Amino acid sequence: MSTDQAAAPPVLIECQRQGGIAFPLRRPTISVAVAGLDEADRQALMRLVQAADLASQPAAFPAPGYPDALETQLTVAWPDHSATVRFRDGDGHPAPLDELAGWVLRHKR
Amino acid sequence: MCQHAGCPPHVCFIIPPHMMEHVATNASDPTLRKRALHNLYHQGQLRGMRASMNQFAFAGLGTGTKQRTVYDAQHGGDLPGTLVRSEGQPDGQDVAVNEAYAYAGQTYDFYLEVMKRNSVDDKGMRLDSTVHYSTDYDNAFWNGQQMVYGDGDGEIFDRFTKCLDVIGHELTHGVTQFTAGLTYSSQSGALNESFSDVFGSLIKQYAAGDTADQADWLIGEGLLIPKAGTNRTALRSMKAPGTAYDDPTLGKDPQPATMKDYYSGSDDNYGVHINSGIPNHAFYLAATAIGGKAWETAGLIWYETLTTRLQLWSEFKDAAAATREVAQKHGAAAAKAVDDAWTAVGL
Ligand SMILES: [Zn+2]
Repeated sequence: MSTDQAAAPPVLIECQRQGGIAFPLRRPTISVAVAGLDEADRQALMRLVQAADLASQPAAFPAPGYPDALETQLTVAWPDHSATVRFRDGDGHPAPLDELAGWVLRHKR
Repeated sequence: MCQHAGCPPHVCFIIPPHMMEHVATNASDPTLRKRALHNLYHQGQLRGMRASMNQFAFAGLGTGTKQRTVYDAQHGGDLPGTLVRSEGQPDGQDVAVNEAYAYAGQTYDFYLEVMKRNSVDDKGMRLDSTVHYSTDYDNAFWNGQQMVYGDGDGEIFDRFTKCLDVIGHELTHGVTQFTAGLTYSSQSGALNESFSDVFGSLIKQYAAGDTADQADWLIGEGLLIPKAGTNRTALRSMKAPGTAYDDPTLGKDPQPATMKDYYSGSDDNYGVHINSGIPNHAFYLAATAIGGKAWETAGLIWYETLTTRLQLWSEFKDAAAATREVAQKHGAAAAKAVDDAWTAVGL
């Protein structure tokens, strides 16, 4: 990730999960608009986005993962560009991707 | 940590696998057990996963010695988590723990009593389950070593330990891993999924004492939280693929019942949970045509096929041919029922 990108706050985070034992049942996309967050949440999100470093990840991880693995698609949008990554349980993706997805999913509540 | 030059710390083979297996099985410290499992897993990746998985027969328990453990991930992503129940301990307050323990036991009993199989690996493998995995985790999966269950989101999905057939489904992925090994993609993956549904359903039928006519032939009935004006019956129907759910949010169950509606897209590892409707329906047709209790004849035919006739890249036609052949051992009526069932689904 470039220094500029790491420093710039994103405007939107989206998380969609699909697959698992229930595939092909559709699941809703969860979106969090950064503008609606308070300062503490915004800071926490910035740290998670930087740790997840979407720009350095492949668009999708190639390993099939486990039987019934759940697939997560994360998109982070900045004012002028976005980055998307897809990963599954057991495909070797880095833990910060899970942490960012978990934050987004928790935040909808 | 290994200090050998050029040896990545997590894949060091300086400890022989049998010692690592001993640590993974017997160490009292969960961190040590986890590290040993992790090392065995990575050795397996380097040496060939299927061969490595047979190393996990480390428990080596005698036939009929059931060993279950349940861990709590406390909504984190680390496996296995904190040990909360071992074999022989009584029910506690946590319903997910109680269900994971009880249903793993019923699955073990089915395989032992009906199929004469000694746990997932046929060598007495301990059945480990982790509950309360991750956040809003709407899923259950088998990770090659253990079962993992999420709590659901409370809006669409209930907790994933709720259904005996779901737990039977996941453990059967383990049985498949140690036998045919069906690759989790395309038709071999759809067969992998189908065998998990078939035995998940049979485990539920066996526990209830249902005949084929009495069974609901649903997978995950009750897992979807009901909503007025929608159909959220189950995840799949073996009797009528394509009818398990129909909901503006979730979509409509797209499973085909026959080859005429075969899904040829790339989603879902090329349709492993979609095209499984075809062999699922063939099993349903065979079992109901044979009559009586489905595990007594149709189940035995499918089990012998899975454990002795199929391999990594087997396709639907291979499963159809093998079950037709195995069915001959069970008499003319069973052979005709199996033949007719596959013909009806287009195979
Ligand atoms: Zn499955």
